[in-house]
Amino acid sequence: MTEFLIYLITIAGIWGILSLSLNFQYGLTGLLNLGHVGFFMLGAYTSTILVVLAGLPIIVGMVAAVAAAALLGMLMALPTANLQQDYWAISTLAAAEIIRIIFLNTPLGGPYVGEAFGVSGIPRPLRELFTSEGYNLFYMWLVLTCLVLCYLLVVWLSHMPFGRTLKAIREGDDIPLALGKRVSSFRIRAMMVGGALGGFAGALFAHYNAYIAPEYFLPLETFIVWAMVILGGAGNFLGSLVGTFIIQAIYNSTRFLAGWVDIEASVLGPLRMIFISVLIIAVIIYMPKGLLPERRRRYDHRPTAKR
Amino acid sequence: MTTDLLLSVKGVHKHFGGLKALDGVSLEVSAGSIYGLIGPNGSGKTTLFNVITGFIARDLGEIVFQGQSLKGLSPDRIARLGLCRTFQANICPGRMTVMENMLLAPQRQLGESILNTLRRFRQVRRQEKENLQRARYLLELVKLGDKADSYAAHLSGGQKKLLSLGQALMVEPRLILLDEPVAGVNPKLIEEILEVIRRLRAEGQNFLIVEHNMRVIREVCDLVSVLDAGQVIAQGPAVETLKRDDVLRAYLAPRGGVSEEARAAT
Repeated sequence: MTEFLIYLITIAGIWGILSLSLNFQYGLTGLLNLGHVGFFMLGAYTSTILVVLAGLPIIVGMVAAVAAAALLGMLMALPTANLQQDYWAISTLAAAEIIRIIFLNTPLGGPYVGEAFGVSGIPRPLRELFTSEGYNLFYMWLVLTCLVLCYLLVVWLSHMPFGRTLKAIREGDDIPLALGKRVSSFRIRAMMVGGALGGFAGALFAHYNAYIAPEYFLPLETFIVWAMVILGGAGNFLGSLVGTFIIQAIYNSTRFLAGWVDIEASVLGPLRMIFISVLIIAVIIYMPKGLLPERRRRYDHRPTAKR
Repeated sequence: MTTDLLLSVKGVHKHFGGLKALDGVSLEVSAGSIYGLIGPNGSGKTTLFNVITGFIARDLGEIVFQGQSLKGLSPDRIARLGLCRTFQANICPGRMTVMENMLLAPQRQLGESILNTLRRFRQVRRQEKENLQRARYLLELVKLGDKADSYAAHLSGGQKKLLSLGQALMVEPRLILLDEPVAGVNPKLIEEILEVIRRLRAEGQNFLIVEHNMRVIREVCDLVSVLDAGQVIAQGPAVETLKRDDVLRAYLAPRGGVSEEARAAT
């Protein structure tokens, strides 16, 4: 049970970074990014290729993963920066699929490396310092520390004039344009920040799981991150973390539910997706702002201020 | 009144398919005055605003603001030159508070750069403080002092107009283009808006105003242009121009003569 909890918290921490970054793009900026898994995948593969195939230190791989994913964010946003929301949905979905299909068809090394085989034997940072159980605990704390740093970063940016302008862009371009804001530049930068964090999560995942393959990065993964953001509350970063933990708990529940309930594992797997779907539909109908709605930024502390 | 030329529009055309929304419009706005733009619905007033501020590309013609041609400039670029507009529809971001809306507007905010928020945090914070102070002052001026923390979506139509005005003032532009600043606003609030506009004029703020309310135009505008079907049919000092027969006809009685009620109404 403890082992399972450590695993769950680690996974929820990695996905937490992913949902924070999607929340930054969607909740704060209103960008309909349906290709978020693309950042995750590029981050995972960049670090893996640099560390496993090029033999560079893990830290270099991780930094490169962040940079590559930020660059991808910029590339995705450049041609679409002036488009309407619906086109963003299509173009980001396509971009993520392009990345997956490139890696699915690219042999990275000798036999059984790259393509659909994926890459195995990805080294885990500081592995030699711990026992097997101790290491999982260490990695959990590592992920949680990273999560806290990412959380502080997005909260920080959302409180700055930068984040305020993103928030205005969420409700349309006309007002920010009339106030002299370079709207496309803000969109590009929002995609870069979100992308960088997504890539970071990918690198953390690769070095935790020690094995990655294109099948991990299907579009479904993006929608699970969306479910986390919608459940927790778009625009509320703490909400993202709550949503992430709940969805990951449901998603990983099969492991110990199998022993308790008399349902075959093959049925239980799809069943949890149905459960998540029903949960999301219920949230959209009954709590459209999510479990933790976006918080109001108050400037006026006079007690007479109404509303 | 000085004759310092701020904005000059020369022979501007804009066609939407077969519709001539603007058919050779010219006007000149000088510093130190409030310029009114009137005309019946569909006469091209808002289109002219959109063309001046770069939201719509013009087909022909020249627009010069403070000696610089606005040809091919994007709306945000034009705003940064000191030409700020409001919108006829109330489109201020409703999920942001009134204060957030105000703080959005100032130009050259250091904190809009990600790097600066980390590297030059002190300056960012000082600038934010100054902007907050100015926003508080302006919110009092536009009678929204007690609404700072309300969501903009919760304001009444008239209050949203006032918020747009406040936002435009935060930009500190040379010229503000107001698109129907009192449409849908209750009479008492109209008086307050007019008072604010007069006061700002006295402080040297220039305005170009599109408005349907004749009384408002007569009371605050020095000069007016009357648009009809995309053409300027009259131009001159507000009070005299509004009395002209052809103006009244275009405005109030498109299909017949000018009735006595129409005359009385103006």
